[in-house]
Amino acid sequence: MKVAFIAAILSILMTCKSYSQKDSIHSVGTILFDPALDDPSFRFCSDTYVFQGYELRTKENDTRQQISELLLKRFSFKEEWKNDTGFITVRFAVNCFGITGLFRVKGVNGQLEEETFTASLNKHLLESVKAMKWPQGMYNLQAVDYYHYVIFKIENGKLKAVM
Amino acid sequence: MSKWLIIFLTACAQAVAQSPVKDCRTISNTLDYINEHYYWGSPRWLAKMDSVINQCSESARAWGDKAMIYALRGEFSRWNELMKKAVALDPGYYLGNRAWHRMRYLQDYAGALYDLQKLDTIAGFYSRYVSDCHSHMLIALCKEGLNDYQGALESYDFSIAKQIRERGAEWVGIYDYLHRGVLRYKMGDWSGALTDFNEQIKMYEKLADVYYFRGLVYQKMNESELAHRDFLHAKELMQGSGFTRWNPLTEEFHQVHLSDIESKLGR
Repeated sequence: MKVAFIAAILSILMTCKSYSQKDSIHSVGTILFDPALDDPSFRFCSDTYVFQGYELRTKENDTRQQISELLLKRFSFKEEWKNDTGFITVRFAVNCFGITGLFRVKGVNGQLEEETFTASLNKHLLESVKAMKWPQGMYNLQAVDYYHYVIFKIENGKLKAVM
Repeated sequence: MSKWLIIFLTACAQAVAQSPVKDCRTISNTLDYINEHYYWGSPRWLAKMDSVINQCSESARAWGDKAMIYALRGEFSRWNELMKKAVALDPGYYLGNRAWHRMRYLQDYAGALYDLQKLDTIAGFYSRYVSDCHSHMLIALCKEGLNDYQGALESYDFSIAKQIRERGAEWVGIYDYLHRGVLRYKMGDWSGALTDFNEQIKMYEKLADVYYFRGLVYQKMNESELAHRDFLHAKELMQGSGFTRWNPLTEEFHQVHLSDIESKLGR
């Protein structure tokens, strides 16, 4: 009787296993290397876990405001973008040395449906994100890899906010 | 024996929670279990969520929970597709939830206002709360974000008055006076702003943010000594003896940063 109990409980506990670190590798938002777009020299330091930027943010190390101010300053409007309205997200990875790579640009319109914006606008935003110095991700005093993204709010080609 | 019985019942409860949903009325337990035991957004988590959605496609929460991960990772078109399903199934909850995300992640005040006004039409006489915030406070924040200051002020007034009428003065939302005070400050109504900030301090005296804003008002009133004292106090509170509004995902409305305070103190 006792053995049966223990066996039943063990079998149940085995199915209760918590997630492994590797679960993070192919989760929503993972960016896979694309030889047509990416620098082949970019490497993650870990092959088991890539953090999300928001998991590493603390009140003390929060640089959102400074980054947003810098990106707003670097923006320079062009007439050819005047029909572009919506939100452009630049998502990328930062490895444990603070080196960036795997940049991807996506846009949505005011109804939050996928939208293709003028290529030169995408390029301008992408270049300004690439030119920034992104902070090294730290977790438990160790440098780690992470994904991050910046959202640009565009109205008639003008940059209204950076989130 | 009773110890074994407790262990057995606990194990049974876990097994039930992991098994395919038998009854969609208890789906919340299953979703809680999945969210707790699988890495959010991983292939296994997605497979579990999809299996729940297949069995209980009328569950707004299942669609809403799945949507959340896409907002967190910056995939807004996918988030929106899934949220549409959640909103269609439970507009009373998910219109407000969608508006909240639109405001916080995207500063999409026009889209959020549309959702909140729609929510208001189905709410009828009763007040709706979104994340503990009265829905008309969110409407006010949206109008302020769209530079409709007069409309925003009317909504703040309406919301605060309605909360006092329905629940009593002590139940006004935790930052509501702060928000209205900031708007009054932007509109040049120094004494109105001061009244709101003093009211906010009565509710939450260790909140650094409100002393910063009250310092700005004192500056406008040429009360430089009082202003300096408030900026210093805001800094002390922010650096440990008090609190500031902050979250790792998005900026707060009317967020105050240490650098804002330090620039006022001239360093």
